[in-house]
Amino acid sequence: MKGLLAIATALMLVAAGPAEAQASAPRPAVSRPAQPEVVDPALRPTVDRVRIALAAMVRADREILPAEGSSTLRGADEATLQRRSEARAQAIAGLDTLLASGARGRVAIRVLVVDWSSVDLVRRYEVRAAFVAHDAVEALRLTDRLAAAAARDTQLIGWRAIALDSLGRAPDALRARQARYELAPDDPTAWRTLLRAHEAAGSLPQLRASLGRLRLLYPSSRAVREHEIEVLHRLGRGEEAARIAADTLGVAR
Amino acid sequence: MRDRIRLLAFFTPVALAAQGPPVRTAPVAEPVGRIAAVVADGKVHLYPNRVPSDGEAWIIRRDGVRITREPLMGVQGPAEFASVVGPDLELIQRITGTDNSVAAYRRLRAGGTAAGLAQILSPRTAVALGALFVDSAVTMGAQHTYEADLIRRSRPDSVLRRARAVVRVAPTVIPTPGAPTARPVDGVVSLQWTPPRFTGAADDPVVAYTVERADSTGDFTRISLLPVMRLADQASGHRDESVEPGRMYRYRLRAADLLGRLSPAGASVSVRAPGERGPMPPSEVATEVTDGRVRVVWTTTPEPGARGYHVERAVGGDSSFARVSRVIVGADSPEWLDTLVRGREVYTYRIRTVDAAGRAGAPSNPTTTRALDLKPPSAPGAFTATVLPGHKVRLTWRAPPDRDVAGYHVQRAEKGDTAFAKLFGEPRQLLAYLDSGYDGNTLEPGREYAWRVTAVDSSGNVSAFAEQRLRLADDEAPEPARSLLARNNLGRWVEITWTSSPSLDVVRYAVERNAGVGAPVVVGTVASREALQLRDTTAVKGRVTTWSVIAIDSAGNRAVALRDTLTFRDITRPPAPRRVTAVRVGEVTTVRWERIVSADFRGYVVYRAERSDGVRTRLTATPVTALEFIDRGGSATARYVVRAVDASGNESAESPVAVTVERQR
Repeated sequence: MKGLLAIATALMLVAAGPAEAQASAPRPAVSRPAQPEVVDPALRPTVDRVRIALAAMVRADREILPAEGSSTLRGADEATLQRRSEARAQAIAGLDTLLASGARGRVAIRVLVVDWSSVDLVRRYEVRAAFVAHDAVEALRLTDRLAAAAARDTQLIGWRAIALDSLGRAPDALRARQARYELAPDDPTAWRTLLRAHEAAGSLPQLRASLGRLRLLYPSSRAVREHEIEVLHRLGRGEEAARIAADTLGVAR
Repeated sequence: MRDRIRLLAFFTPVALAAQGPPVRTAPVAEPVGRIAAVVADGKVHLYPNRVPSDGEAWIIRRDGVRITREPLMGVQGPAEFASVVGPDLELIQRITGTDNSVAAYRRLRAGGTAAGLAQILSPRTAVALGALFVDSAVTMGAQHTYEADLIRRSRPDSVLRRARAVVRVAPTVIPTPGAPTARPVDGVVSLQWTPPRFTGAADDPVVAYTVERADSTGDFTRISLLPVMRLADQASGHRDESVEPGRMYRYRLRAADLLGRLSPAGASVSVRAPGERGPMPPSEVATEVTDGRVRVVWTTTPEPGARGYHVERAVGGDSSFARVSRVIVGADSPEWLDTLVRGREVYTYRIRTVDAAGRAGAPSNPTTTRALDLKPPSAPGAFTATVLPGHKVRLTWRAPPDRDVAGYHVQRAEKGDTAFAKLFGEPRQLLAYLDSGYDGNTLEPGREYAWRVTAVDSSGNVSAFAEQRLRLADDEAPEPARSLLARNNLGRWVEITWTSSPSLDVVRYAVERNAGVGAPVVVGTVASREALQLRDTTAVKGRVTTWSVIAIDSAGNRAVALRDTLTFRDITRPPAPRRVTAVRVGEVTTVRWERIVSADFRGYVVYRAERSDGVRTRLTATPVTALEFIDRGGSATARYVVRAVDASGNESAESPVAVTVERQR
């Protein structure tokens, strides 16, 4: 069975076309399960489309990378970027389809992860599939494994917070949301989730203190000041909010 | 901070200094620099070595012929900037960390690393900044000399800076860099490489590097999002934090020139990532300076198992960090207050995240600040002033308890001064000072002085003063008077004149007379403010007499006497003696005469002659005061005359001639 799967994978790659894809034969980064999982036949066409799209993405990435002797620091040409963008969109469409297919889709994604472990996009869908399956423990484990090489990835930190919440570890989730917000204070989603978390925890004064600190770290960020004003209003400290608002106008001018 | 560290070699003053000998063709305000030139696609890309400021522009000549029809001055404002940069604007905003063209334009005009990076990655930006001129009217293989003059547009004849380059029109070859060194440090992979010494010559076009990574068998991908700028004669480096623990990686470099072109990849180096990644440091660190304190803040770590943080500090721009947080700073309170700072000292801080096992990870990027101290130190204590021989004063004091005292100022004033004068310009680290007066010429005896000592801390804050006052005892003789002259005034008196002593504290002059007999006699005193002359009417005539003038100061100290010697005489003859008789008895003739009256009479002189109009022979070697003279050598026909002599040596007219009269015994 194991040999058949490998042959099938190789055939599909050839079908996907590019010699480059064969040259970069995916290497498993995660340990294979004892019993290899089988893709539901109904989902196979989708899985094949995802494989083709991923191969196209890898090929485009190769073109974007600097080639010997003719490379420059500037980005790739528009056509290559367009091809990559289209391939990525097709891969995402297929992965979304699998994600919506419940447990069968999760298995299919796991199979894809085995073969395309170097493609970050697929590994992230594995995490999302775990969330869809309400498997917070697995979602946290996968997230932490991805975060080992990308500790400051705000999406991963956000997922970690969600998983921790699901596991009832609210203080840890709050700290993760705080860290996520502080990495990208201009991200409105990060702010809203953090604000809600602090409100739920009754720790708005603590949030206000952290915003005062962030004003030093991001002195030209208008978002940080607006968030501080919002928190001050919620705390009923209108005068302070007005003062910072006036100051913010100066910054923005 | 990282931006400030990664200075682009081409754009730094250090690099300019290494750009060959200056060419002196016309007087310029600054040294001659070098135009960086890159030949690509049969064109010469010329980068004069400075972005022109507002009101400035470059004029470029090729082989002495001007090739810039209009001065090269860049765009005139953000709107034009956005238009010229066009599709590169998003890239420029990413480099400058801004979100609009106005802010990006301002950042680039300020220069620095962001401006350098932007020029490399976007020739449109270099053109927009007035930092690039492309000469396309050249022939391959030719050699040209380019000169660029930075001028003020308002005064085109004023050359602010000149740059020069000799360019052979041949494709510029970007040398392939060597392999970097790679080692696991603090749970990540640290890469370092040392570029060759920057020459600025045409065969040294490298201004930046890119770092590429591959696992043990796969393809290389670029991992440095922005080029790593080449430093001026320093090692460059990159820290790869996105490694999977325990995995084997290969790294290699490419060099980039000013046009952003890359060299072939250099040799690769392999390294295994640390088995366990250390906790990642905070992404941002900032400081807030208040009086005597530095507040260090940083972003909350995203590490799941973080226990807290260590704060490390380096002082004075040094790169040797020491941990200053004694206990672990809690993971939920990412800030620390440094109260042990000295004003105006430069401090650099960095943060390490500590995990649950107590393991500290890699340090964050450092942030540097200068401490502020507005509180003056306490005044020095136990201030004393002690007079030493030689009219010097030793000042001693005790240091105040403040830790940041950088030195002391000593000030002095004399009585009547309205302000104190500093005795040295910069504060000195000393607790005693010997005041030897202005220029070491000792202090003035008899004067009252006041001294103040203040402590100065490292921020320049000055303490209150401690003060001491002292009058120096006047035990020093004044300078003698000058130009003494004793003059005989027609024998009536002696006129004594002199000029004043240079000493300012002389209050009077004593005039003494010494006629060689007995103690000197005080003739009189003259106050220093009066006319410096005295009339001596009691001098003895005819005697060698010395007059002395002695300056006397307010403390009664007497100067060395100034002397002048004179023999005081008058010119009035005494009256001639009368009734002179000469009586001869035997062989002895007795000459007698009547007394004369004269104030300065001294004696009589007797003369003998054989005839009344004959030659007079003086018989008395010295004047005699008796009224007779016994002559044992005279003949019976001898004649005698007598003269009176006064103290001044004046002889009177002859007395009537006395003819010898013989008498029997």
